[in-house]
Amino acid sequence: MARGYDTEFLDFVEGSRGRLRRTAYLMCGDWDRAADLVQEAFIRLYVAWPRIDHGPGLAAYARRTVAHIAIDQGRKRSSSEVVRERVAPTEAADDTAGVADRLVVLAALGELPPRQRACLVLRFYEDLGVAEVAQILGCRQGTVKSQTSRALETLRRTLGDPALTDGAAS
Amino acid sequence: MTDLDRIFAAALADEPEDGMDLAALVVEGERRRTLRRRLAISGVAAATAASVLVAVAVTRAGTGDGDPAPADPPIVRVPVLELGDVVVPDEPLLQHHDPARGDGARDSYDGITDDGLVVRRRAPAESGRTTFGLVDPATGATDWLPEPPQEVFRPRPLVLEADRLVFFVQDSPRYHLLTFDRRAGTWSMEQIAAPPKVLDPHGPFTVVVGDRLYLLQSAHHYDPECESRAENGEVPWDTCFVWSSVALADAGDHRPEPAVAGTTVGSYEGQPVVVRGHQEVVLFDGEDERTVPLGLPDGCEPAADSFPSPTQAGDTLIVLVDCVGPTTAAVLYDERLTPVSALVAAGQVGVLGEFLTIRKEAVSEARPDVLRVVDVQGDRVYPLRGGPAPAVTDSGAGLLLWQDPSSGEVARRGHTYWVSEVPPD
Repeated sequence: MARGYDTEFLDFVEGSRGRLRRTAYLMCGDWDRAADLVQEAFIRLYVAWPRIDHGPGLAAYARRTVAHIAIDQGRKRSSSEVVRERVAPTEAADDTAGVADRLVVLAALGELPPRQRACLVLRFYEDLGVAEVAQILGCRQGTVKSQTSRALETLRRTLGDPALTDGAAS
Repeated sequence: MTDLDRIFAAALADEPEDGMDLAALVVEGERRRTLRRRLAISGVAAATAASVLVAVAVTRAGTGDGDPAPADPPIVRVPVLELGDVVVPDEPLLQHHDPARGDGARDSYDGITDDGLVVRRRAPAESGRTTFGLVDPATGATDWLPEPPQEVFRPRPLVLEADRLVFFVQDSPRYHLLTFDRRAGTWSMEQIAAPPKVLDPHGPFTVVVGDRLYLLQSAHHYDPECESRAENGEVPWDTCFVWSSVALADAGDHRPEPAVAGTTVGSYEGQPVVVRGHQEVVLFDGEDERTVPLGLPDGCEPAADSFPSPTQAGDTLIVLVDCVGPTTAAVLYDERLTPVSALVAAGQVGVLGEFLTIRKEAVSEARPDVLRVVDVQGDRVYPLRGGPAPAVTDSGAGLLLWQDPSSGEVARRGHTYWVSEVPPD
């Protein structure tokens, strides 16, 4: 803990952990798993710290790491877990509307394959451009566009909201 | 607010308190960093040109039918290298402070070409392409090269020669070799044929061995659990990791390297060299092998979970050893490949081009966090100016290049890079 780069590393962790955890949560839908994802990302970042640039691209680097881990783990889980229950949007009671909304949204996001979900979160929560998302996910820009489009279509269908917009086309 | 904004806001409405344990995070990070350092040679990515061909009496490995199994060569005890005078380099040729630029782009200095120029890299903040330049340290003038054919992510220099610059580029899950032909003034970028599943997607271990780049890969997938099991001795290391190699001149020529599985790989005279079983150093020449004993100074027993790392400093074969306790050693071999002496330090010993390096507590208890550069004879010790913990970057062509990353404000004000001439004897 005495080295200069540890101090710098911890400064970066303090400044970015909240945002990264929210991004991870949107990608995985579970706060505990999100915390694990971010912790694993920070550990990998710590290992790489002495040999990476600490400039403005550092936040992007951390996002990229979180996205890769989330997609990797999402794939493993999706191949080994079975969805046992889906929340129907019409069953929400008025006095718990907030909770119900959240569950509905999470269930809808949970319908998305990990890569589509990552595209959606990076494009519209992190507000990144198509090129940047493509670089983070290591795919072509066209793939980002098609994955995002499919994700939106799935959300519209799941949420029963054909008018759902991303705000980007308007 | 768009519909998606509302969706995300709804999803995040129950955010609990973050209970991340930063101390545990650093402990785990340090554990993995130590493991990787032991598993692979870091900072030895520069090509080792076969400038002096050492006469090596090559013998066929005695594993064929009828051959008696060769006895393990005994460990040879060697004297500790006595360090000579501390020599302070002259005023640096180049001191580049990289304050935050108005456009957010950042410069870094990645290495020294064998004709004495410093490779400068300018990374854009958000969009645009990374550009490269060659700096003449005598004048500070930068000759900017043409733009690479596409944006490259964190290029790592592999070969910096008078006629070509070769970088390893990772755009996970794809990996490329980016080459600049200095005579033609043109770039080319080739994807490595069988994309390796690398150990660490953010910093795969690479070692240039002659005309090939060795890559340490995860045998199956990035798997920290496998790594932990291997560390605990529950499974052999090659259960988790394997080596492959790709030709520097042809990224399509990618192949597995089973002969060096389960250990660290270094380069000596353009050929792979490994240390097996904390006991023997094996040098390869095609299908032939030559085994020479591991040398150790008195008081140094290799840490059980460490991987002695062979490499080359100048013309000298070096084996880096983590000893039990807080010491490390660089064992030096003579031209007959006999271990003759060892540089021992309470800190971390490494190799930088033609030099050895010592970090922390190595020379003076009063300055425990310094980095010193030592010639392989131990005759001369160079302290590096800068902050308390300067980081080595490269050496070559009579130059030393390092950076000062010690300030906690680096992210805001940038690194300082230094280039000095190595004082003449």
